[in-house]
Amino acid sequence: MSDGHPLLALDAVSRFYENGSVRALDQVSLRANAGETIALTGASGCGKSTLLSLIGLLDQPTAGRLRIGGQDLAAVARPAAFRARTLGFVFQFHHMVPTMTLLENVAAPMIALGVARAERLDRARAMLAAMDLGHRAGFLPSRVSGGERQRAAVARALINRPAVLLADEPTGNLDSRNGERVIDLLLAHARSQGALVLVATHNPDIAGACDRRIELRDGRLVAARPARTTPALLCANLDAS
Amino acid sequence: MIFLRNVWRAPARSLMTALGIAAGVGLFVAISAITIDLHEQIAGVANAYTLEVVVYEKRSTSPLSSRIGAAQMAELRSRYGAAVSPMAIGTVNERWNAYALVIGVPAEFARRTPLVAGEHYREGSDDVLLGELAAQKLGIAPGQTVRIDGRELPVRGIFRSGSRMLDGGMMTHIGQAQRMLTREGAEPQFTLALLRAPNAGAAAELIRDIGQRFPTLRAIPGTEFAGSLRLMKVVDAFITTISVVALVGTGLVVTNTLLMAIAERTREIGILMTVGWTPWLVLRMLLAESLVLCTAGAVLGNGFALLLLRVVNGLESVGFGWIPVRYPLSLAAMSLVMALAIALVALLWPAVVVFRMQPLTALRHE
Repeated sequence: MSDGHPLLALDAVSRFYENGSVRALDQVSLRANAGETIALTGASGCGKSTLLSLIGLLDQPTAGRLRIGGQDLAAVARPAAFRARTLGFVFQFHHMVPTMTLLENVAAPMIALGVARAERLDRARAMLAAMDLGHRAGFLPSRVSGGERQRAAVARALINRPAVLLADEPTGNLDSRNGERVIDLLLAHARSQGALVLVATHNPDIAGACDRRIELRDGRLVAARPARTTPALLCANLDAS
Repeated sequence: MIFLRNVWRAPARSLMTALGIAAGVGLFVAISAITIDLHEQIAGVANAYTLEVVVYEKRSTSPLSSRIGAAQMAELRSRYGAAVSPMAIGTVNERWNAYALVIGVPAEFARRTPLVAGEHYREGSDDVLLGELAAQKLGIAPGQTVRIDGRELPVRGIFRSGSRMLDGGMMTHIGQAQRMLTREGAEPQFTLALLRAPNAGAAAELIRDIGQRFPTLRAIPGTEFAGSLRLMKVVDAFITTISVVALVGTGLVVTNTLLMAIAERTREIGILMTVGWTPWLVLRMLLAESLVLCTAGAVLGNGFALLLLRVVNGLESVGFGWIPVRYPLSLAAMSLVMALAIALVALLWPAVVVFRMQPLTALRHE
């Protein structure tokens, strides 16, 4: 998808609210390649979620240009189809549809692509099994633990093999043990699929597990640097995966 | 079956919605059943007596409100002879039937009606023929008497016409019927004249001839009898009005339920849109829920209609024999089709809401 160019390119992207009095993002430029894992850090309200929303075509920038695989996001005619094909989302709160089983939740993005029912269910089962959730496939989200729900959310995000995976505080609502497991699985599977991963997080361990760390402050990109350390536990888990 | 789970997630609301649809559908079916039956009953009477030509007063709004004087009836009889059968029709309010149909016809005409017991009355006698339904209700057999219009009248025979309206009433000779149906002091009059014709061509010729020779009378083919009744026209207008109100109300109930479902599930819809669902896919899910509710409502509504017809049929004030207790399967099928159409139409407003919904706003919905 990159053809030598960066998979994701942001040029002076801004997002203002309230007639410009609230500057959620201000002149942010960024390049990222396929297979990279990038941590977005910064205090609450610094613009991390806004940045992810813009990349995810859930919002439009006030100014600037975003491109994924060379495609200008402002020119995407069918955003829903683009999201289904190219993007995966993991949220802080699992955001599972409560009346769908884990299997149906994971298969939901494939419906948007018109994948046949049998194939949908087969792929969703395989993905759940990869997340150690094969035994929970027929359960409703309310019947499984928070960690299992979030792993199912990761499975749903990866099911269409997206080029870009956007994770907004994916472990923010989990205890440390479950959080580690979720982020291990997320990064390992995304890397195996060659996806670009952008993780908004406050957690330094997660940031350390990523290839690159980008810090935002008051909507501005203030630092972009390689991750300092990769915790031993995460490395071991990733290797095992 | 996600849509079934969605319907079941608010069972009380889904049940109330289905009952609301059932009320609308039930009302529509019950009223339609009564009207269809009324048409069939009247058409049945016309067919039973081979009413080739029906003659009635031109200025009257329908054949049953017609009044033909004795002089004019005599003229008709002198011109067309035995082909003419005068008729006096009306209802009397009796304890056993608030709208007991009384038909006064010559004995010769009455002989066309098949009997299940007894024999036909003789011209000029006070005897009556009782309809089978009336006889069953009163427990009367030929040879006994029936109290009508304050007088005890001997029952000569029990007839079965196949029309519940007729079979819930009685038949007697014209003079007696005129006494029952005419106000005290008023000149006895006839309601209609029925003319027999050997074939359709002869009937058409008769109609033309009557139109030329009797300017105050109107002659119509027997097949148009039911349609010419003002009562039927009023009933048809009534059923159309009630049906429209019932179906619009039903549609609003379904729309309201779908809008509530969308409001409650805004975040879920936002999730689905985020993972790539288009508004059309979301609407497909809502349509399935709407179809489930409307189908359940239609089934319940038909049950409700059957119950309603039985209850109304049992009311003394309505008069027995006037209300059907069953209806054609085609009406049930039509009610189901209409319910499914409502399911589609009720989706219009929710569709606008879904198409306007922004995924990010929906995701943040509390």
